[in-house]
Amino acid sequence: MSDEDNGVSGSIPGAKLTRRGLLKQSAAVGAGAVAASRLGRAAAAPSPASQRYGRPRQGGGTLVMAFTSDDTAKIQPLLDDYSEANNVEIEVRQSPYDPLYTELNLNLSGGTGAYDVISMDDPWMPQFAGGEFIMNLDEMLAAAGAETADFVPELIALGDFPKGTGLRGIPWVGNVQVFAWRTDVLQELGLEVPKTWDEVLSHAQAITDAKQGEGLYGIGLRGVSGNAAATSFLPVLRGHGVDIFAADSWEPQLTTPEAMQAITTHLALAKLTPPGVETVTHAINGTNMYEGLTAMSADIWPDLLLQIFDPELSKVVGKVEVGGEPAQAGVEPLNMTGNWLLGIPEGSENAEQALDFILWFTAAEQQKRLLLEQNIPATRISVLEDPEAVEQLAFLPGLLAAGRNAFPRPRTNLYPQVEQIYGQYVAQAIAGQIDGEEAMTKSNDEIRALMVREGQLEE
Amino acid sequence: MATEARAARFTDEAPARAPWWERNLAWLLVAPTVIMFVLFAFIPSLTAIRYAFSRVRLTRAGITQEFIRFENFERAFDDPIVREAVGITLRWVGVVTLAEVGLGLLLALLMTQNIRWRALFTSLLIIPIIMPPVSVAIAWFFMYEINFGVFNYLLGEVGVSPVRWLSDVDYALYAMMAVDVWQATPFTFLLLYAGLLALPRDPYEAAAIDGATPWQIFRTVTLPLLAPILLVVTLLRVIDAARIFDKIWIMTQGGPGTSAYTMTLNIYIQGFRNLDFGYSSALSFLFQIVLIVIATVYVKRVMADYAAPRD
Repeated sequence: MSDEDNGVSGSIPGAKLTRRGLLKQSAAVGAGAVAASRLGRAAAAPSPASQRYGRPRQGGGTLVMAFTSDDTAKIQPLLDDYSEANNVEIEVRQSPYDPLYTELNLNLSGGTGAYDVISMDDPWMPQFAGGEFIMNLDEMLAAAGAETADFVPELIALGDFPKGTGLRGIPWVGNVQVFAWRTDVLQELGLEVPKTWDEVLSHAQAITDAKQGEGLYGIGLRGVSGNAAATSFLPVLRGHGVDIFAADSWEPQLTTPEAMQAITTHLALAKLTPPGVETVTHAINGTNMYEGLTAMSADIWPDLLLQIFDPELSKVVGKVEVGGEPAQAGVEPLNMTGNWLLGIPEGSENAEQALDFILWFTAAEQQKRLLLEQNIPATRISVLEDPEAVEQLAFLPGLLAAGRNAFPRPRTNLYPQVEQIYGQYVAQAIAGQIDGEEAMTKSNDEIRALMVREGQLEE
Repeated sequence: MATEARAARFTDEAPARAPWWERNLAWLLVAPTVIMFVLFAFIPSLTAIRYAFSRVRLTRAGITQEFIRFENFERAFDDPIVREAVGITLRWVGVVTLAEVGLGLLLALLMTQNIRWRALFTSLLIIPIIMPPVSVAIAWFFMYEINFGVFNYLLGEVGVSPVRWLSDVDYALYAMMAVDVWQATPFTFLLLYAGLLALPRDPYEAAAIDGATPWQIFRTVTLPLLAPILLVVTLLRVIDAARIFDKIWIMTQGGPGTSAYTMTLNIYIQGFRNLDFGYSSALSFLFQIVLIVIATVYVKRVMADYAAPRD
C-alpha cells in the first residue's frame, strides 16, 4: 500500500503525508536525536491515526504483517479495531516460531517488501537490526512526536541495536524470565526465599526429600535439547558470575571455574525435578508449577505466570510469588529477556501507516487490553503499575521489578547457533549421555570454532 | 476428366499435417510434470549443491555465497553429532523396517485365513495409515506421558512403577519406533495382502497333494512367490524410514539429550534454526547420496533377480 494508493493526505489541502515529508519534519525536530523519550505522547493518544499525527488520514489500502501463530488469534480483536478505525485492511501472515524466523530472514534479506510490520523475538534483533533488514525508526518517531518514557527502559533498549544507533523495534510483549516459588511450601518447611543458587539447590533438596511422596518436587526446569535446555541453564550460568561470552570479546567462557560450578549445580537441580525433565518444554514447565508438581522454578515466563495465577486453571493460586533470578554472593542478579518487538522492514512501501499502527498497538490502552483480555504481558510501566491490572494480576509488581533487572541474551546474530550448541550439550548432560565437564568443554570448543569460522574471533 | 484431374491432384498432394498439439502430444502430456520437476526439484537441487560448497549468509544485500570448496563436508565428517545421527538413523531404519515388514507379512498371512470378521479387521487395520503423522505423534506423546499417560496408568494398575518412556535414553528411541511401526505397518500389510491374494493357486494345490506342512508351504511356495513384492515393500519402507522427522520432532525434538537425533533432524536444525544453509545443504547432499546408493544397489543386486525374463 503506497500513499498514492490510500490517498493519505496532510492537513494542508494537497499536501501528502509521505515518508520523505516525515523525514524532513524530523530533521527540523532535530536530526540524529535518539528516540529515547518520544513514544509515550503519541502512544497515549487515541485512535484513529489522524489524531496522533495531527493530520487527517483517509486510510485505505493494506498492511501486511507477520506474527507467530500463537499471537495472531490473541491480537485479532485489536487488529479488527485498528482496521475499522483507519479504513485499513490488515493481512496477517502467521507461522510457528521457527518457520517465522526463517521466513522473515529470507524475505527481509531479499528486500521483497512483502511485509509492513513484523513481530520479532529479541534474540533476533542482532540479525534483523544489525543487518539493517528493518528501518531505523528514530526520525519517523521524532516526526510523529512519539515518546518512549513510559516503556520499561531495559525493554525499550532492546530495540536499539547496535546500541546507540537508534530504535529499530518497539517492544509489545514484555517477556522477562523470573524466579517463582511456592510461598506455602517454603513457609511450611521453614525456608527463606533463596537468594543464591546454593540456597536454591539446598531448598530444592529439602523440598524433594520432604514432599516427593506427595508428588511435589523441589524445582522445575527444561531439558529438551537446544533453546529449552539453554534457556533454563543461562540464568544459572549468569548467577554464577559468568556469561556465555567474555564482556569485551566473543571469547566463550564455558570452561571457566564459574561455568563448571554452574553446570554442576544445574545437573544437581535436574535430579530434583519431576520425572521426565529430559522432555520438559516451556509449556510443561508451567503446567508442572500450576498443577502443584514443582515448588520453585527459575525459568518461568509471564505467559506461564498468567496460567499460574488463573483460578480456573491453577491449583496454586495465591501460593506463588515471583522475583529476580538468584545469584551467588557478589554477583549481580539478572533476568533474561524474551521480548517481542514490532519493526518495519526496509522495502515496506507503507512505512507511515505501519508506524502509525505500531504506535497505536503499543499504546497504554492497547497494552492494557492485551494484558487483561489476552494474557500478553505489557512493556509499559503505567500498565504494569495500573491499579486495576495489579488487582487482577498480583505478580505484576514482581514482573516490573524483573523487567528493571532485564538483560538480553548475548547480542550476536549467531546466537541461535550458539544456543543450539550449548543447549544440545546441556541436554545431553541432563539425559546422562555425558557429564557436566564434557558438556561445557565441548560447548566451549564448538562455540569458539563457530565464532572463528564466522570471523568474529581470531583462531 | 475433371474428376480424374481432381483425383490426380489429391494423390499428388502431401497428406494433411496433424495439428501441432497432436504431433507433440507426448511432450505436452509430460510437460506439466517436467516443468514442475525442473522448478521445484531440479533447480532447488542445483542450488543446494552450490550451497553445499559455500558459506551462505543472509545479509541486507540478499543471500551471499562464499565458495569454500569441501569445508562443509570436512566439517560434517568431523562433527560428532553427525556421526551420532548416522548411527541413530541406521538403527531406526533397521528396526522399524524389520518390524513393519515382518508384522505386515504376519497380518497379511492371518487375513488370508478364514477368520471371522476379516473385512472388519482389514478396515480397522487401515485406520492408522490415514491419520496425519502429526496427530499420531501428539496422541502417542500424551499416552507416553510419565505422570498422566495411559501406559503408565495401566502399568500402575498391575503394580509396575512408571516408565520414563520418552525421557530415558534407553527407551525413548524405541518408544518412538513403536509409534512408527503402529502407523506404517498397515501400509506393508496392504501391499503384502494384495500380493498374497494375487498369487497363483496351483503351487498350493500341488504342495497340499504332496502333503507339505503349513511351514513348508510358506517357506517353499509363499515366500519365493511373494519375494518381489516383499522386496519392493522393504525398499519403500527403508527410504521412508530414513526420512523420519515429524514423529521424533513432535515427541522429543530429538531427545532425551541427542539420543534420537536422526540425520533429517540434524539437517533441519542446521538449516532452519541455525540458518547455516551451506552446512545444511552439505549434510542433505551426503544424505541423498547415501540413500541413492543404497536404493540403486538394492534394485540392481537384489530386485534384478526377479526382473529377469522367465522361461
